[in-house]
Amino acid sequence: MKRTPKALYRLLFVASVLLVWWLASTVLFPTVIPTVGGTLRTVWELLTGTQFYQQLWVTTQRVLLGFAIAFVAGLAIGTAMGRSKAVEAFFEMFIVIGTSQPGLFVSMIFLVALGLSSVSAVITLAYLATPIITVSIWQGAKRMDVNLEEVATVFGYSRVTRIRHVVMPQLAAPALSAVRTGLGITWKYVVMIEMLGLTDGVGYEVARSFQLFQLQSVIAWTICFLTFVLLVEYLVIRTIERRIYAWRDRAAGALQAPDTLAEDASLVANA
Amino acid sequence: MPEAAAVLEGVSKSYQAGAGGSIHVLDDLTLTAEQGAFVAILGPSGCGKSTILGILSGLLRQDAGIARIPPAHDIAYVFQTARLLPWRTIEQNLDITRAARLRQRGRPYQRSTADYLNAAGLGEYRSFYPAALSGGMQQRASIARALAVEPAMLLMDEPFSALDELTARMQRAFLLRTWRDYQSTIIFVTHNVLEAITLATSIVVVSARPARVLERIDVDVPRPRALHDPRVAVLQDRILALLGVDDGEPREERAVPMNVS
Repeated sequence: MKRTPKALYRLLFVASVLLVWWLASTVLFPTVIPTVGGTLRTVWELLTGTQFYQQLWVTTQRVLLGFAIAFVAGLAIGTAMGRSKAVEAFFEMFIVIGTSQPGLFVSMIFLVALGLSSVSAVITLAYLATPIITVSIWQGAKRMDVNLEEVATVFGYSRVTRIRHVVMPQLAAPALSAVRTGLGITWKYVVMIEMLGLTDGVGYEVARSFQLFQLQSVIAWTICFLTFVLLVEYLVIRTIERRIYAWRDRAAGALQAPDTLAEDASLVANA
Repeated sequence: MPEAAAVLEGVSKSYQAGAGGSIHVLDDLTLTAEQGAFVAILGPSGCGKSTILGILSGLLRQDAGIARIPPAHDIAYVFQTARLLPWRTIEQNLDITRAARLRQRGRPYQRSTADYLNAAGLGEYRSFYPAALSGGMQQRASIARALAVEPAMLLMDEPFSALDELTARMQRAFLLRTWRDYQSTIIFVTHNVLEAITLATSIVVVSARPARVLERIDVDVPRPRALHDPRVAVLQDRILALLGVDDGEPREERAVPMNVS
């Protein structure tokens, strides 16, 4: 019941984008902007061919590798910052600079310094995504529930039990937001790096079309790429999110105890 | 005299406070909890009662004096709020805690998790997350968690003070019933005089900071203890006088707030 209107509004959004595009390409700037039909045909060709998938795979590998390194680093630095004032002070400037650094310049520096290769792309992506992931984890680690920590101590929870049942559930929410923002940054910068200095990947293909003034092709590649990023969000990240927050939804939803005061009363009456 | 479950002898404790200063919390404090007793530690707010529990649980070390307490794996704790893991069901909360203790205690449990949940009236709600239960039920789950590790000594830090009076009464009745059933030693911190009189076998009245024992009073009022019992009123007056809260009002009036049942 609840799903239908939401899906409807999402479709409505896509329809309005297409409408504006159609108006722009036929009435407003017919000479500059490629037509909807022509572009969608190119999209279709891309999706039914193999070239797009090959290049997408190359790009995705860089993203996943760079993100994975950044996530591990962010997790380590972030939890250390949450636990120790010294580590916090040490990395503070890294966070401030890192979250506001101009990614384009950093990419240029890294590519020139490390060479125009896939490896330097991955290193650059990892470096660019680490600060933002660290921030999320750090904030989460700082807000650890001291009361539950005490429960774990009083009842002698082992290290493993503590991490699994007390620490990890609290880090799940900040970790998820770290995955979102971290992946967002790596998707954004990977195409830029490929444009700047690599010879394959989605970014490279788009740059080539751009140099040949094939705007229709640029848009088609962009659409295909964005569709893939959306699929990752809806199929992968949202599924993980639902699993993480299951306890919250179920606590607030269907499994609610009946009139609880009455229940308390009946317990004492049975005594 | 039965054997003592826990003894504090001449215990003192201070905390560092800011630049160079220190707060003297406990001063030459002595108390004994006999096996199976229900000892209430009663004193004004902020007198260091939680520090006493901290030392009894072995989490804090005293500066001076002797603390003879059971091994850590024989002690359970109930806090002012339930402190359950919100992302685990009630049953998982008990199971995780029991599993953690099992290795340390080195002997199997006598009863099952389900027994403790049923005793707390939570059998039907075992697969619920804590947030789906009322405050009273959550606190009962927290008591069930403490009992489920089958402790020799149960420490309780004002466990009903965050509940409304009606719910708190039901919880007290539940606690007395379980104490009779499980026969573990209970040390119960409170600043509620009537709560101490209704529940305890003996009351240790503690002064304001630094906490000293003003008097230890054995409560010989037979159970169930009615609040309108004259012996309860006499005890209440005696304790209030000890704590310096004697406002000269007639005794009947003082008992009124908890007399509504």
